Amino acid sequence: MNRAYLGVDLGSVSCNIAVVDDKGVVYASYARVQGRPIETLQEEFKKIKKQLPNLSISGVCCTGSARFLVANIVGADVIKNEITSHATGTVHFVPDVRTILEIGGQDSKIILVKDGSVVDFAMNTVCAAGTGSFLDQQAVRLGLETEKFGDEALRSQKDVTIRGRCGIFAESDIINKQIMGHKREDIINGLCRALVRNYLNNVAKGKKIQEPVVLQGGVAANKGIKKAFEDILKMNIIVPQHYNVMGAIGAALIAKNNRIQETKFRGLDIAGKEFKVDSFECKDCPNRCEIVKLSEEDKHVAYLGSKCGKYE
Amino acid sequence: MKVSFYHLGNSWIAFKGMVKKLGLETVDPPKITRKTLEFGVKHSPESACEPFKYILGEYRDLLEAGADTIFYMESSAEEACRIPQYMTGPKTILGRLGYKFDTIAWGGKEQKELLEDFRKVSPGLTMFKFKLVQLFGIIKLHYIEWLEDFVNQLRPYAIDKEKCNELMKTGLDLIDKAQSIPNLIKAKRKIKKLARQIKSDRTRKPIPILVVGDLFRILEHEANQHIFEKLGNVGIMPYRSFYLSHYYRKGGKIGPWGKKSFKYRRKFASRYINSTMAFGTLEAVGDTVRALKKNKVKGIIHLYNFTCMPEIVNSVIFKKIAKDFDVPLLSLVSGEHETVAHQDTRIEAFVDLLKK
Repeated sequence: MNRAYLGVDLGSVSCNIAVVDDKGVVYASYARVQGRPIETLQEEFKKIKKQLPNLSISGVCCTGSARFLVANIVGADVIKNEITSHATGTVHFVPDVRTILEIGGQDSKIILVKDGSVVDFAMNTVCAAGTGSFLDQQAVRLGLETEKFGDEALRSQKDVTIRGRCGIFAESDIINKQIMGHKREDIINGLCRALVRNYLNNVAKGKKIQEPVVLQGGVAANKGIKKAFEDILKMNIIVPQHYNVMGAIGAALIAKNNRIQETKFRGLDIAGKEFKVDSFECKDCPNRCEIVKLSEEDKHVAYLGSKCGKYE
Repeated sequence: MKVSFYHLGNSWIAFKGMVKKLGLETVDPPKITRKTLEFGVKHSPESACEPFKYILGEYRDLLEAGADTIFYMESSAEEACRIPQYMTGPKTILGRLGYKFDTIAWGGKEQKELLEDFRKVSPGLTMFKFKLVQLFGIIKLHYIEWLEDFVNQLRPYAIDKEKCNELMKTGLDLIDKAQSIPNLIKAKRKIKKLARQIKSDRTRKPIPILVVGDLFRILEHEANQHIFEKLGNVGIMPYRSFYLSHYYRKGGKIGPWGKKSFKYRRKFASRYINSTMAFGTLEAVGDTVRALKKNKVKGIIHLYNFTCMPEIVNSVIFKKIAKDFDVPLLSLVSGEHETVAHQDTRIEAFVDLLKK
């Protein structure tokens, strides 16, 4: 039997799961969280069980912004940050990659790679303009599905300048352009270009972008963004096959490389169990930490979020 | 009269020692909590820097804890940007909110004028005694900084990291209690003895990095979210470029120390920056270049505050330095909106990068 490894990437917008064995990626899924992270994770686990009934997992790695929560639920062997996971995943598919542009739901990052290892990285600092959730919002405002947003941009012939420095300003500028009578596709194209410019000026500031360049993360599905990157950078942009689950694949690969002797994984059966997340305010000091209490059925699993280490 | 001080990390212990030597009653500052910052954010101008907000909140905490006089540091070092503002600003704001208090400022003036100020709170103070008191304060500050560095450099080797935190606590307590120079020396010896009991693995090879940035973020552990501790726990040896005692030696004109001893920083910084913009910027650049030239560190972490102009300029210079010397750089911007996860993810990734 093959040794299979599970990677879970639970972020702000999506819950991605990948299963990797010696041959390569066996399973990869992308699902929107929509504010219910644990339920989404359980549903995804159910799907894996259906598709791969006799799967045995020998290692789990969690990543994404909710990695500590997930790690407690599934019983992870390794917890890794998003940057390392993404780089590991991409290097697996594009071994000679030099630059990784990753735009996710709430954060965007640039990772510079040399000879398969990360040499430099940057993440958006104080502003989330130009990330997936902003595009989502604008798609809803313009009455489009997020998936069709990019195709609409490709139909545009003209270049409309939108100020993309800040999410709020961009939105008012879009409204302004709408009032002035510009076509919808032109505005969308302008927005894509504004976001790319903002990304390059803000996140990729001062970084030398070298080919091959890989674009990934949920936003890579947007063809308008890919085209805008190609136009502005004048480079060929690669969007890999598993662009939106790269973090999860990377995590699974990290679990594989870690040579885990005995996994702490609690099995795919946790899909059927009921997890309760309770939060309360600790009143012992003026810090007033919000403590998250995670319990499985009636059994206590973990506390998260304390500053002083009292609830550990 | 009850005197108190804002934290600036552990530096307040030195100020406390000084004030006690003057024969005044002191109040220990309460711990910084979320409430402190919330108050600061609520009552300060929106675009003020994070330290201002913290300090405004801290003053309120001090006054609530029963202090009626606040001892604070002024600066006469030419590059001080806002340290004087830390008093006048919060005092006006708190005055409007109905808090009344007196202040004692240390530094920022010639010794004779300072003596006049201090005579108001401690009548009959002579110049000789005043100089001794200041010297004692600075020496105590040195001991505190020594302890911080000592623990930070022990932590990567220690097997039980929790023991290091305990050592820090007991060490600070010992230094706090020592009210004379011989006692300080004894305290240091005792701390070293305690440290020997901590089991450590000296075969480990921690990666040395330099933490630079603005005064407040480097000193105040609540503001930098215990970054030195976090780095030590994952096997990184953090050095820092900024010491408060240097600042006093430079600007205070006390004892044998003058400006000369810091000339080397200007020399090293000259390729990137020639004049100081604000507190510690040129020094940080000089120190970084020096450490990199001597091959002492393998990475730089730059901490700075959102809306802090001098540090924003500096961040560009650090980018250039990192490029020239081919070392990784992590810029951490913070503001009151900063979350713990935000910083932890970046530090974690940076450590992964360094270890490869």
